[in-house]
Amino acid sequence: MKQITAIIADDEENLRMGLILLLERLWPELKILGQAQNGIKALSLIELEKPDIAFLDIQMPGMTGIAVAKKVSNACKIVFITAYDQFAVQAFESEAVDYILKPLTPKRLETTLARLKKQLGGQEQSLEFDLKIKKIIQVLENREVPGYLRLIKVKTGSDIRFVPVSQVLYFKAEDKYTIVQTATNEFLIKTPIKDLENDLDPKQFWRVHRSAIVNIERIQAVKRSFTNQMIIGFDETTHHIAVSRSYEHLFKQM
Amino acid sequence: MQPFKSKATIHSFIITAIFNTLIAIVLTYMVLDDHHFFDVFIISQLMGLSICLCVNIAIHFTDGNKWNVATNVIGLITGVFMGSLLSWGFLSLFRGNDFTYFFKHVFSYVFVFGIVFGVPISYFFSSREKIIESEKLIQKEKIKRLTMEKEAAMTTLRLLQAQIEPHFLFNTLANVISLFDIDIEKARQMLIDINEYLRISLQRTRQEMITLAQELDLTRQYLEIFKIRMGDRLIYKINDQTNKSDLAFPPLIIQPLVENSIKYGIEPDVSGGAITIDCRIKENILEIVITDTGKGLDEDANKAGIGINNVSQRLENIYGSDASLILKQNHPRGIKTIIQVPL
Repeated sequence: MKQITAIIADDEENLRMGLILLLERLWPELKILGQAQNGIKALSLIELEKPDIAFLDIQMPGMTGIAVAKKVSNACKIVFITAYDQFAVQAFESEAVDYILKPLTPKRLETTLARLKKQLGGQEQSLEFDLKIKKIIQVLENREVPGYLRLIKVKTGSDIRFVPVSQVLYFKAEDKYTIVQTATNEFLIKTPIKDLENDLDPKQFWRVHRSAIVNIERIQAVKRSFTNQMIIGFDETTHHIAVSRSYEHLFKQM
Repeated sequence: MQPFKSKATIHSFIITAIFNTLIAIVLTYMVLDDHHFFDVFIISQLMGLSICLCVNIAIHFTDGNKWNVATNVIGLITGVFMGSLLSWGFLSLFRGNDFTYFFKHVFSYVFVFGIVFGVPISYFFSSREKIIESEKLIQKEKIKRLTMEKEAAMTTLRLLQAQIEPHFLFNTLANVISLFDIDIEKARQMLIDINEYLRISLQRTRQEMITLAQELDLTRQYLEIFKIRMGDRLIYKINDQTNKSDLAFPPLIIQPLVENSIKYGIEPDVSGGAITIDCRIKENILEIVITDTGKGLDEDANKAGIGINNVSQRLENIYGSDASLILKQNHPRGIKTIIQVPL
Protein backbone atom coordinates (compact mmCIF):
# COMPACT_ATOMS: atom_id res chain seq x y z
CA MET A 1 0.00 0.00 0.00
CA LYS A 2 1.15 3.47 -0.85
CA GLN A 3 2.42 5.53 2.06
CA ILE A 4 0.07 8.28 3.18
CA THR A 5 1.57 11.75 3.37
CA ALA A 6 0.66 15.05 4.99
CA ILE A 7 1.74 18.64 5.45
CA ILE A 8 1.14 20.93 8.42
CA ALA A 9 0.53 24.69 8.29
CA ASP A 10 0.36 26.88 11.39
CA ASP A 11 2.03 30.21 12.12
CA GLU A 12 3.06 29.12 15.61
CA GLU A 13 6.02 26.77 15.68
CA ASN A 14 5.16 25.21 19.03
CA LEU A 15 1.78 24.20 17.70
CA ARG A 16 3.25 22.67 14.54
CA MET A 17 5.72 20.70 16.65
CA GLY A 18 3.01 19.64 19.04
CA LEU A 19 0.85 18.31 16.21
CA ILE A 20 3.78 16.47 14.63
CA LEU A 21 4.64 14.76 17.92
CA LEU A 22 1.02 13.81 18.46
CA LEU A 23 0.72 12.43 14.92
CA GLU A 24 3.91 10.39 15.36
CA ARG A 25 2.31 8.75 18.36
CA LEU A 26 -1.16 8.20 16.93
CA TRP A 27 -0.29 7.43 13.30
CA PRO A 28 3.37 6.43 13.04
CA GLU A 29 3.02 5.40 9.37
CA LEU A 30 1.96 8.89 8.31
CA LYS A 31 4.78 10.74 6.59
CA ILE A 32 5.04 14.48 7.16
CA LEU A 33 6.36 16.02 3.96
CA GLY A 34 6.78 19.53 5.26
CA GLN A 35 5.66 22.43 7.42
CA ALA A 36 4.53 25.93 6.55
CA GLN A 37 4.38 28.99 8.83
CA ASN A 38 2.02 30.99 6.66
CA GLY A 39 -0.74 30.57 4.12
CA ILE A 40 1.33 31.37 1.08
CA LYS A 41 3.97 28.78 1.97
CA ALA A 42 1.23 26.26 2.73
CA LEU A 43 -0.20 26.71 -0.75
CA SER A 44 3.14 26.25 -2.51
CA LEU A 45 3.96 23.28 -0.28
CA ILE A 46 0.73 21.54 -1.22
CA GLU A 47 1.28 22.25 -4.91
CA LEU A 48 4.88 21.05 -4.73
CA GLU A 49 4.58 17.99 -2.49
CA LYS A 50 1.07 16.88 -3.40
CA PRO A 51 0.29 15.39 0.03
CA ASP A 52 -2.76 13.26 0.78
CA ILE A 53 -3.69 15.36 3.79
CA ALA A 54 -3.18 19.04 4.71
CA PHE A 55 -3.62 20.23 8.29
CA LEU A 56 -4.39 23.93 7.94
CA ASP A 57 -4.63 26.51 10.70
CA ILE A 58 -7.33 29.07 9.87
CA GLN A 59 -5.76 32.28 11.17
CA MET A 60 -2.48 32.45 9.29
CA PRO A 61 -0.61 35.47 7.98
CA GLY A 62 -0.50 35.93 4.23
CA MET A 63 -3.49 33.75 3.53
CA THR A 64 -6.08 32.10 5.75
CA GLY A 65 -6.35 28.33 5.87
CA ILE A 66 -9.74 28.55 4.24
CA ALA A 67 -8.39 30.57 1.31
CA VAL A 68 -5.63 27.99 0.86
CA ALA A 69 -8.20 25.19 0.85
CA LYS A 70 -10.25 27.00 -1.76
CA LYS A 71 -7.21 27.30 -4.04
CA VAL A 72 -6.20 23.64 -3.83
CA SER A 73 -9.82 22.44 -3.78
CA ASN A 74 -9.83 18.66 -4.32
CA ALA A 75 -6.07 18.13 -4.49
CA CYS A 76 -5.95 16.65 -0.98
CA LYS A 77 -7.96 15.96 2.17
CA ILE A 78 -8.11 18.98 4.38
CA VAL A 79 -8.37 19.23 8.15
CA PHE A 80 -8.82 22.71 9.60
CA ILE A 81 -7.32 23.69 12.94
CA THR A 82 -8.89 26.48 14.94
CA ALA A 83 -8.53 27.81 18.44
CA TYR A 84 -11.84 29.41 19.17
CA ASP A 85 -14.22 30.35 16.48
CA GLN A 86 -17.81 29.40 17.13
CA PHE A 87 -18.71 30.75 13.74
CA ALA A 88 -16.20 28.71 11.80
CA VAL A 89 -16.94 25.59 13.83
CA GLN A 90 -20.64 25.94 13.04
CA ALA A 91 -19.83 26.32 9.36
CA PHE A 92 -17.60 23.20 9.44
CA GLU A 93 -20.25 21.21 11.26
CA SER A 94 -22.99 22.12 8.85
CA GLU A 95 -20.85 21.31 5.81
CA ALA A 96 -19.36 18.17 7.38
CA VAL A 97 -15.81 19.41 6.84
CA ASP A 98 -13.09 18.00 9.07
CA TYR A 99 -11.70 20.25 11.77
CA ILE A 100 -9.87 19.98 15.06
CA LEU A 101 -9.83 22.40 17.96
CA LYS A 102 -6.85 23.87 19.74
CA PRO A 103 -5.71 22.79 22.25
CA LEU A 104 -5.56 19.42 20.51
CA THR A 105 -6.68 16.42 22.47
CA PRO A 106 -5.42 12.95 21.42
CA LYS A 107 -8.93 11.58 21.61
CA ARG A 108 -10.43 14.11 19.22
CA LEU A 109 -7.47 13.77 16.85
CA GLU A 110 -7.87 9.98 16.82
CA THR A 111 -11.46 10.32 15.62
CA THR A 112 -10.35 12.61 12.80
CA LEU A 113 -7.48 10.30 11.84
CA ALA A 114 -9.75 7.25 11.78
CA ARG A 115 -12.11 9.07 9.44
CA LEU A 116 -9.22 10.14 7.20
CA LYS A 117 -7.88 6.57 7.00
CA LYS A 118 -11.29 5.31 6.02
CA GLN A 119 -11.75 7.96 3.35
CA LEU A 120 -8.28 7.50 1.86
CA GLY A 121 -8.44 3.68 1.97
CA GLY A 122 -11.85 3.43 0.35
CA GLN A 123 -11.02 5.98 -2.33
CA GLU A 124 -14.08 7.78 -1.14
CA GLN A 125 -13.87 11.03 -3.02
CA SER A 126 -15.79 13.99 -1.84
CA LEU A 127 -16.04 15.92 -5.05
CA GLU A 128 -18.23 18.54 -3.57
CA PHE A 129 -15.47 19.68 -1.20
CA ASP A 130 -14.90 22.71 -3.40
CA LEU A 131 -18.56 23.62 -3.03
CA LYS A 132 -18.45 23.12 0.73
CA ILE A 133 -15.50 25.45 1.07
CA LYS A 134 -17.24 28.07 -1.01
CA LYS A 135 -20.22 27.89 1.31
CA ILE A 136 -17.99 28.18 4.38
CA ILE A 137 -16.21 31.18 2.93
CA GLN A 138 -19.55 32.79 2.30
CA VAL A 139 -20.67 32.20 5.89
CA LEU A 140 -17.40 33.53 7.29
CA GLU A 141 -17.44 36.56 5.01
CA ASN A 142 -21.03 37.37 5.86
CA ARG A 143 -20.18 37.72 9.49
CA GLU A 144 -17.92 40.66 8.70
CA VAL A 145 -20.91 42.70 7.56
CA PRO A 146 -22.11 44.11 10.91
CA GLY A 147 -18.72 45.74 11.43
CA TYR A 148 -19.14 49.49 11.44
CA LEU A 149 -16.46 52.06 10.81
CA ARG A 150 -14.44 52.54 13.98
CA LEU A 151 -11.56 54.66 12.74
CA ILE A 152 -11.61 57.51 10.28
CA LYS A 153 -8.47 57.82 8.19
CA VAL A 154 -7.47 61.48 7.84
CA LYS A 155 -4.48 63.35 6.43
CA THR A 156 -2.83 66.07 8.48
CA GLY A 157 0.02 67.62 6.59
CA SER A 158 2.38 64.77 5.78
CA ASP A 159 0.92 62.59 8.53
CA ILE A 160 -1.85 60.07 8.24
CA ARG A 161 -3.96 59.81 11.35
CA PHE A 162 -6.76 57.50 12.41
CA VAL A 163 -9.50 59.17 14.42
CA PRO A 164 -11.63 56.86 16.61
CA VAL A 165 -15.27 57.54 15.76
CA SER A 166 -16.07 58.01 19.45
CA GLN A 167 -14.01 61.23 19.30
CA VAL A 168 -16.02 62.63 16.41
CA LEU A 169 -18.71 65.19 17.26
CA TYR A 170 -20.14 65.40 13.77
CA PHE A 171 -19.49 65.02 10.05
CA LYS A 172 -20.45 67.90 7.82
CA ALA A 173 -20.40 68.17 4.04
CA GLU A 174 -18.53 71.17 2.70
CA ASP A 175 -18.01 71.51 -1.03
CA LYS A 176 -16.22 68.39 -2.24
CA TYR A 177 -15.05 67.46 1.24
CA THR A 178 -16.47 66.23 4.49
CA ILE A 179 -15.44 67.92 7.73
CA VAL A 180 -14.65 65.55 10.59
CA GLN A 181 -15.06 67.59 13.76
CA THR A 182 -13.62 66.41 17.08
CA ALA A 183 -13.56 68.38 20.33
CA THR A 184 -10.09 69.69 19.52
CA ASN A 185 -9.55 69.25 15.79
CA GLU A 186 -11.09 69.59 12.41
CA PHE A 187 -10.10 67.24 9.61
CA LEU A 188 -11.11 67.03 5.97
CA ILE A 189 -11.83 63.74 4.25
CA LYS A 190 -13.01 62.96 0.75
CA THR A 191 -15.61 60.35 1.67
CA PRO A 192 -19.07 61.81 1.00
CA ILE A 193 -21.64 62.02 3.79
CA LYS A 194 -23.84 59.52 2.00
CA ASP A 195 -21.15 56.81 2.04
CA LEU A 196 -20.27 57.54 5.63
CA GLU A 197 -23.86 57.15 6.68
CA ASN A 198 -23.85 53.55 5.44
CA ASP A 199 -20.60 52.69 7.22
CA LEU A 200 -21.36 54.22 10.61
CA ASP A 201 -23.29 52.57 13.42
CA PRO A 202 -26.84 53.99 13.04
CA LYS A 203 -27.37 53.64 16.78
CA GLN A 204 -24.62 56.14 17.44
CA PHE A 205 -24.60 58.33 14.34
CA TRP A 206 -27.70 60.12 13.12
CA ARG A 207 -28.23 61.99 9.93
CA VAL A 208 -29.84 65.27 11.01
CA HIS A 209 -29.44 67.25 7.84
CA ARG A 210 -28.77 66.64 4.15
CA SER A 211 -25.20 67.65 4.89
CA ALA A 212 -24.64 66.52 8.48
CA ILE A 213 -24.30 63.39 10.60
CA VAL A 214 -23.96 63.79 14.37
CA ASN A 215 -22.58 61.52 17.09
CA ILE A 216 -25.54 61.39 19.47
CA GLU A 217 -23.31 60.32 22.34
CA ARG A 218 -21.60 63.71 22.16
CA ILE A 219 -24.74 65.84 22.05
CA GLN A 220 -25.00 68.16 25.00
CA ALA A 221 -28.33 69.82 24.23
CA VAL A 222 -30.89 70.27 21.51
CA LYS A 223 -32.36 73.76 21.52
CA ARG A 224 -34.55 75.94 19.39
CA SER A 225 -33.27 79.17 17.93
CA PHE A 226 -35.56 82.20 17.87
CA THR A 227 -36.44 81.33 14.28
CA ASN A 228 -37.68 78.03 15.74
CA GLN A 229 -34.94 75.96 14.12
CA MET A 230 -33.62 72.99 16.07
CA ILE A 231 -29.93 73.39 16.98
CA ILE A 232 -27.65 70.70 18.38
CA GLY A 233 -24.90 71.71 20.80
CA PHE A 234 -21.97 69.42 21.65
CA ASP A 235 -20.04 68.62 24.83
CA GLU A 236 -17.43 71.12 25.95
CA THR A 237 -17.46 73.04 22.67
CA THR A 238 -19.21 75.90 20.95
CA HIS A 239 -19.81 73.83 17.84
CA HIS A 240 -23.36 73.44 16.72
CA ILE A 241 -25.32 71.81 13.93
CA ALA A 242 -28.75 72.75 12.63
CA VAL A 243 -31.37 70.03 12.30
CA SER A 244 -33.40 70.23 9.12
CA ARG A 245 -37.19 70.06 9.44
CA SER A 246 -37.47 66.61 7.95
CA TYR A 247 -35.19 65.15 10.64
CA GLU A 248 -36.69 66.96 13.63
CA HIS A 249 -38.85 64.00 14.49
CA LEU A 250 -35.70 62.16 15.64
CA PHE A 251 -35.49 64.46 18.64
CA LYS A 252 -39.14 64.65 19.56
CA GLN A 253 -40.04 63.08 22.89
CA MET A 254 -36.45 63.09 24.07
CA MET B 1 -48.28 75.27 26.98
CA GLN B 2 -49.37 72.09 28.66
CA PRO B 3 -51.70 69.98 26.56
CA PHE B 4 -54.87 68.82 28.27
CA LYS B 5 -54.32 65.33 29.45
CA SER B 6 -57.81 64.23 28.51
CA LYS B 7 -57.92 61.17 30.73
CA ALA B 8 -56.71 62.92 33.85
CA THR B 9 -58.96 65.92 33.14
CA ILE B 10 -62.08 63.76 32.72
CA HIS B 11 -61.13 61.95 35.91
CA SER B 12 -60.96 65.20 37.82
CA PHE B 13 -64.43 66.21 36.54
CA ILE B 14 -65.97 62.93 37.62
CA ILE B 15 -64.42 63.13 41.08
CA THR B 16 -65.59 66.75 41.37
CA ALA B 17 -69.15 65.74 40.45
CA ILE B 18 -69.13 63.11 43.20
CA PHE B 19 -67.88 65.70 45.69
CA ASN B 20 -70.59 68.09 44.51
CA THR B 21 -73.29 65.51 45.13
CA LEU B 22 -71.98 64.83 48.62
CA ILE B 23 -71.81 68.57 49.33
CA ALA B 24 -75.38 68.98 48.08
CA ILE B 25 -76.59 66.25 50.43
CA VAL B 26 -74.71 67.66 53.40
CA LEU B 27 -75.89 71.21 52.68
CA THR B 28 -79.52 70.24 52.10
CA TYR B 29 -80.06 68.01 55.06
CA MET B 30 -77.54 69.05 57.66
CA VAL B 31 -76.64 72.70 57.20
CA LEU B 32 -79.40 74.60 55.46
CA ASP B 33 -82.29 72.36 56.41
CA ASP B 34 -83.78 73.46 53.11
CA HIS B 35 -85.80 70.79 51.38
CA HIS B 36 -85.11 71.82 47.83
CA PHE B 37 -82.43 69.19 47.29
CA PHE B 38 -82.65 69.42 43.50
CA ASP B 39 -81.83 73.14 43.44
CA VAL B 40 -78.96 72.76 45.87
CA PHE B 41 -77.71 69.81 43.86
CA ILE B 42 -77.75 71.80 40.60
CA ILE B 43 -76.07 74.85 42.12
CA SER B 44 -73.48 72.65 43.79
CA GLN B 45 -72.68 70.96 40.48
CA LEU B 46 -72.52 74.29 38.61
CA MET B 47 -70.21 75.70 41.23
CA GLY B 48 -67.95 72.63 41.57
CA LEU B 49 -67.62 71.96 37.87
CA SER B 50 -66.91 75.65 37.15
CA ILE B 51 -64.12 75.62 39.69
CA CYS B 52 -62.77 72.37 38.23
CA LEU B 53 -62.89 73.81 34.71
CA CYS B 54 -61.23 77.08 35.68
CA VAL B 55 -58.44 75.40 37.62
CA ASN B 56 -57.80 73.04 34.72
CA ILE B 57 -57.68 75.95 32.28
CA ALA B 58 -55.39 77.90 34.61
CA ILE B 59 -53.03 74.93 34.79
CA HIS B 60 -53.18 74.57 31.03
CA PHE B 61 -52.09 78.17 30.52
CA THR B 62 -49.27 78.07 33.06
CA ASP B 63 -47.35 75.26 31.37
CA GLY B 64 -48.76 72.60 33.62
CA ASN B 65 -47.31 73.94 36.81
CA LYS B 66 -49.86 72.02 38.81
CA TRP B 67 -48.98 72.97 42.33
CA ASN B 68 -48.32 76.60 41.77
CA VAL B 69 -50.45 78.18 44.53
CA ALA B 70 -51.24 81.29 42.46
CA THR B 71 -52.50 79.19 39.55
CA ASN B 72 -54.82 77.29 41.83
CA VAL B 73 -56.06 80.43 43.63
CA ILE B 74 -56.77 82.28 40.37
CA GLY B 75 -58.54 79.24 38.97
CA LEU B 76 -60.52 78.83 42.15
CA ILE B 77 -61.68 82.46 42.38
CA THR B 78 -62.58 82.64 38.67
CA GLY B 79 -64.39 79.35 39.11
CA VAL B 80 -66.35 80.62 42.11
CA PHE B 81 -67.44 83.74 40.19
CA MET B 82 -68.33 81.70 37.15
CA GLY B 83 -70.25 79.22 39.33
CA SER B 84 -72.11 82.06 41.03
CA LEU B 85 -73.02 83.58 37.68
CA LEU B 86 -74.27 80.23 36.34
CA SER B 87 -76.24 79.65 39.54
CA TRP B 88 -77.90 83.02 39.11
CA GLY B 89 -78.63 82.13 35.50
CA PHE B 90 -80.22 78.89 36.61
CA LEU B 91 -82.29 80.53 39.35
CA SER B 92 -83.44 83.42 37.19
CA LEU B 93 -84.39 81.19 34.29
CA PHE B 94 -86.13 78.38 36.11
CA ARG B 95 -87.04 79.86 39.47
CA GLY B 96 -87.78 83.46 38.43
CA ASN B 97 -85.37 85.02 40.91
CA ASP B 98 -84.35 88.50 39.94
CA PHE B 99 -80.81 89.73 40.39
CA THR B 100 -81.38 91.81 43.51
CA TYR B 101 -83.00 88.87 45.27
CA PHE B 102 -80.21 86.57 44.23
CA PHE B 103 -77.54 89.04 45.23
CA LYS B 104 -79.13 89.69 48.64
CA HIS B 105 -80.13 86.18 49.70
CA VAL B 106 -78.36 83.60 47.64
CA PHE B 107 -75.04 84.99 46.39
CA SER B 108 -73.29 85.17 49.74
CA TYR B 109 -74.16 81.53 50.48
CA VAL B 110 -73.09 80.35 47.08
CA PHE B 111 -69.89 82.34 47.20
CA VAL B 112 -68.93 81.34 50.71
CA PHE B 113 -69.71 77.67 50.23
CA GLY B 114 -67.87 77.77 46.94
CA ILE B 115 -64.76 79.00 48.71
CA VAL B 116 -65.23 76.81 51.80
CA PHE B 117 -65.53 73.60 49.78
CA GLY B 118 -63.45 74.69 46.81
CA VAL B 119 -60.25 75.29 48.79
CA PRO B 120 -59.96 71.85 50.43
CA ILE B 121 -61.04 70.07 47.24
CA SER B 122 -58.53 71.96 45.08
CA TYR B 123 -55.94 71.16 47.73
CA PHE B 124 -56.96 67.52 47.55
CA PHE B 125 -56.45 67.48 43.79
CA SER B 126 -53.14 69.23 43.79
CA SER B 127 -51.70 67.04 46.52
CA ARG B 128 -53.01 63.97 44.72
CA GLU B 129 -51.19 65.10 41.56
CA LYS B 130 -48.12 65.74 43.60
CA ILE B 131 -48.17 62.21 44.98
CA ILE B 132 -48.66 60.71 41.54
CA GLU B 133 -45.84 62.83 40.12
CA SER B 134 -43.44 61.98 42.91
CA GLU B 135 -44.26 58.31 42.56
CA LYS B 136 -43.47 58.57 38.87
CA LEU B 137 -40.22 60.30 39.75
CA ILE B 138 -39.30 57.58 42.23
CA GLN B 139 -40.10 54.96 39.61
CA LYS B 140 -37.94 56.79 37.09
CA GLU B 141 -35.06 57.03 39.55
CA LYS B 142 -35.40 53.34 40.31
CA ILE B 143 -35.26 52.41 36.64
CA LYS B 144 -32.31 54.73 36.14
CA ARG B 145 -30.43 53.20 39.06
CA LEU B 146 -31.13 49.65 37.94
CA THR B 147 -30.02 50.47 34.40
CA MET B 148 -26.83 52.00 35.73
CA GLU B 149 -26.11 48.98 37.92
CA LYS B 150 -26.70 46.68 35.01
CA GLU B 151 -24.46 48.74 32.80
CA ALA B 152 -21.68 48.71 35.39
CA ALA B 153 -21.89 44.93 35.62
CA MET B 154 -21.88 44.64 31.83
CA THR B 155 -18.84 46.89 31.59
CA THR B 156 -16.95 44.76 34.09
CA LEU B 157 -17.84 41.66 32.14
CA ARG B 158 -16.86 43.23 28.85
CA LEU B 159 -13.54 44.40 30.23
CA LEU B 160 -12.85 40.95 31.58
CA GLN B 161 -13.75 39.33 28.28
CA ALA B 162 -11.62 41.83 26.43
CA GLN B 163 -8.58 40.80 28.43
CA ILE B 164 -9.14 37.09 28.50
CA GLU B 165 -10.23 36.78 24.93
CA PRO B 166 -11.12 33.15 24.18
CA HIS B 167 -8.99 33.00 21.05
CA PHE B 168 -5.99 34.20 23.02
CA LEU B 169 -6.65 31.85 25.92
CA PHE B 170 -7.14 28.68 23.88
CA ASN B 171 -4.24 29.36 21.55
CA THR B 172 -1.99 30.00 24.53
CA LEU B 173 -3.09 26.84 26.30
CA ALA B 174 -2.55 24.89 23.07
CA ASN B 175 1.01 26.20 23.14
CA VAL B 176 1.55 25.03 26.70
CA ILE B 177 0.28 21.56 25.89
CA SER B 178 2.57 21.33 22.86
CA LEU B 179 5.51 22.67 24.86
CA PHE B 180 5.17 19.83 27.38
CA ASP B 181 6.40 17.52 24.61
CA ILE B 182 8.96 19.90 23.19
CA ASP B 183 10.49 22.03 25.94
CA ILE B 184 9.25 21.41 29.45
CA GLU B 185 11.06 24.46 30.85
CA LYS B 186 9.37 26.76 28.36
CA ALA B 187 6.01 25.16 29.15
CA ARG B 188 6.54 25.89 32.83
CA GLN B 189 7.50 29.49 32.10
CA MET B 190 4.46 29.98 29.92
CA LEU B 191 2.13 28.63 32.59
CA ILE B 192 3.66 31.03 35.09
CA ASP B 193 3.11 33.91 32.64
CA ILE B 194 -0.51 32.95 32.03
CA ASN B 195 -1.08 32.56 35.74
CA GLU B 196 0.31 36.04 36.43
CA TYR B 197 -1.58 37.56 33.57
CA LEU B 198 -4.91 36.10 34.70
CA ARG B 199 -4.30 37.10 38.30
CA ILE B 200 -3.56 40.72 37.47
CA SER B 201 -6.41 40.84 34.97
CA LEU B 202 -8.97 39.63 37.45
CA GLN B 203 -7.76 41.99 40.15
CA ARG B 204 -7.49 45.15 38.15
CA THR B 205 -10.82 44.85 36.38
CA ARG B 206 -12.40 45.93 39.64
CA GLN B 207 -10.09 48.89 40.12
CA GLU B 208 -10.49 52.40 38.82
CA MET B 209 -6.81 53.23 39.06
CA ILE B 210 -3.64 51.22 39.25
CA THR B 211 -0.08 52.37 38.70
CA LEU B 212 1.68 52.78 35.39
CA ALA B 213 4.24 50.22 36.57
CA GLN B 214 1.47 47.68 37.12
CA GLU B 215 -0.06 48.31 33.71
CA LEU B 216 3.37 47.91 32.13
CA ASP B 217 3.93 44.68 34.08
CA LEU B 218 0.72 43.25 32.76
CA THR B 219 1.54 44.33 29.23
CA ARG B 220 5.00 42.76 29.55
CA GLN B 221 3.39 39.52 30.74
CA TYR B 222 1.06 39.60 27.76
CA LEU B 223 3.89 40.27 25.32
CA GLU B 224 6.01 37.54 26.94
CA ILE B 225 3.27 35.03 26.20
CA PHE B 226 3.20 36.15 22.58
CA LYS B 227 6.99 36.04 22.42
CA ILE B 228 6.91 32.32 23.22
CA ARG B 229 4.11 31.79 20.73
CA MET B 230 5.44 33.84 17.83
CA GLY B 231 9.18 33.33 18.36
CA ASP B 232 11.32 35.54 16.13
CA ARG B 233 8.30 37.10 14.46
CA LEU B 234 7.77 39.35 17.47
CA ILE B 235 10.29 41.73 19.01
CA TYR B 236 9.24 44.02 21.80
CA LYS B 237 10.74 46.65 24.03
CA ILE B 238 9.33 48.63 26.96
CA ASN B 239 11.13 51.86 27.87
CA ASP B 240 9.85 53.43 31.05
CA GLN B 241 11.69 56.74 31.42
CA THR B 242 9.39 58.16 34.09
CA ASN B 243 11.59 56.83 36.90
CA LYS B 244 8.54 56.68 39.11
CA SER B 245 7.03 53.50 40.43
CA ASP B 246 3.84 54.98 41.83
CA LEU B 247 2.35 56.96 38.95
CA ALA B 248 -1.43 56.51 39.06
CA PHE B 249 -2.77 55.22 35.75
CA PRO B 250 -6.04 53.62 34.68
CA PRO B 251 -6.00 49.91 33.80
CA LEU B 252 -6.89 48.63 30.35
CA ILE B 253 -5.37 51.43 28.35
CA ILE B 254 -1.98 50.16 27.19
CA GLN B 255 -2.69 46.45 27.01
CA PRO B 256 -5.71 46.72 24.63
CA LEU B 257 -3.65 48.91 22.29
CA VAL B 258 -0.80 46.41 22.32
CA GLU B 259 -3.34 43.67 21.69
CA ASN B 260 -4.58 45.59 18.64
CA SER B 261 -1.04 45.98 17.38
CA ILE B 262 -0.45 42.25 17.60
CA LYS B 263 -3.84 41.22 16.29
CA TYR B 264 -4.12 43.57 13.32
CA GLY B 265 -0.51 44.59 12.76
CA ILE B 266 1.99 41.85 13.52
CA GLU B 267 0.20 38.50 13.63
CA PRO B 268 -1.32 38.84 10.14
CA ASP B 269 2.01 39.95 8.69
CA VAL B 270 4.16 37.20 7.20
CA SER B 271 7.40 38.69 8.45
CA GLY B 272 6.08 39.82 11.85
CA GLY B 273 7.33 43.02 13.44
CA ALA B 274 8.34 44.98 16.54
CA ILE B 275 6.38 46.72 19.29
CA THR B 276 7.94 49.52 21.31
CA ILE B 277 6.35 51.18 24.32
CA ASP B 278 7.89 54.49 25.46
CA CYS B 279 6.76 56.26 28.62
CA ARG B 280 8.03 59.70 29.58
CA ILE B 281 7.05 62.80 31.50
CA LYS B 282 6.95 66.13 29.66
CA GLU B 283 5.99 69.14 31.75
CA ASN B 284 3.30 67.59 33.93
CA ILE B 285 2.08 65.41 31.11
CA LEU B 286 2.59 61.69 30.99
CA GLU B 287 3.14 60.55 27.43
CA ILE B 288 2.95 56.96 26.33
CA VAL B 289 3.84 56.05 22.76
CA ILE B 290 3.10 52.60 21.40
CA THR B 291 4.73 51.91 18.07
CA ASP B 292 4.40 48.83 15.94
CA THR B 293 5.94 47.98 12.61
CA GLY B 294 3.12 45.71 11.50
CA LYS B 295 0.79 45.75 8.56
CA GLY B 296 -0.81 49.06 9.47
CA LEU B 297 -4.44 49.83 8.82
CA ASP B 298 -5.92 49.52 5.40
CA GLU B 299 -9.43 50.65 4.53
CA ASP B 300 -11.04 47.45 5.73
CA ALA B 301 -9.09 47.31 8.94
CA ASN B 302 -10.68 50.64 9.89
CA LYS B 303 -13.62 48.59 10.94
CA ALA B 304 -11.52 46.31 13.06
CA GLY B 305 -10.05 48.29 15.93
CA ILE B 306 -12.75 47.58 18.46
CA GLY B 307 -10.53 48.30 21.41
CA ILE B 308 -9.52 51.79 20.34
CA ASN B 309 -12.90 53.43 20.78
CA ASN B 310 -13.18 51.82 24.19
CA VAL B 311 -9.79 53.12 25.22
CA SER B 312 -10.61 56.59 23.91
CA GLN B 313 -13.87 56.67 25.81
CA ARG B 314 -12.28 55.40 29.01
CA LEU B 315 -9.60 58.09 28.85
CA GLU B 316 -12.26 60.72 28.37
CA ASN B 317 -14.40 59.43 31.23
CA ILE B 318 -11.43 59.57 33.55
CA TYR B 319 -9.59 62.71 32.41
CA GLY B 320 -12.20 64.66 30.44
CA SER B 321 -10.69 66.76 27.71
CA ASP B 322 -7.28 66.83 29.41
CA ALA B 323 -6.30 63.50 27.88
CA SER B 324 -5.62 62.79 24.25
CA LEU B 325 -5.29 59.68 22.15
CA ILE B 326 -3.81 60.02 18.69
CA LEU B 327 -3.27 57.26 16.17
CA LYS B 328 -0.86 57.85 13.33
CA GLN B 329 0.66 55.94 10.51
CA ASN B 330 4.19 54.98 11.51
CA HIS B 331 7.06 55.37 9.06
CA PRO B 332 7.93 53.31 7.14
CA ARG B 333 5.10 51.04 8.25
CA GLY B 334 2.79 50.20 11.15
CA ILE B 335 0.88 52.33 13.62
CA LYS B 336 1.97 54.81 16.26
CA THR B 337 -0.40 55.50 19.13
CA ILE B 338 0.27 58.49 21.36
CA ILE B 339 -1.50 58.84 24.70
CA GLN B 340 -1.16 61.97 26.79
CA VAL B 341 -2.67 62.31 30.25
CA PRO B 342 -2.18 64.98 32.93
CA LEU B 343 -0.11 63.96 35.93
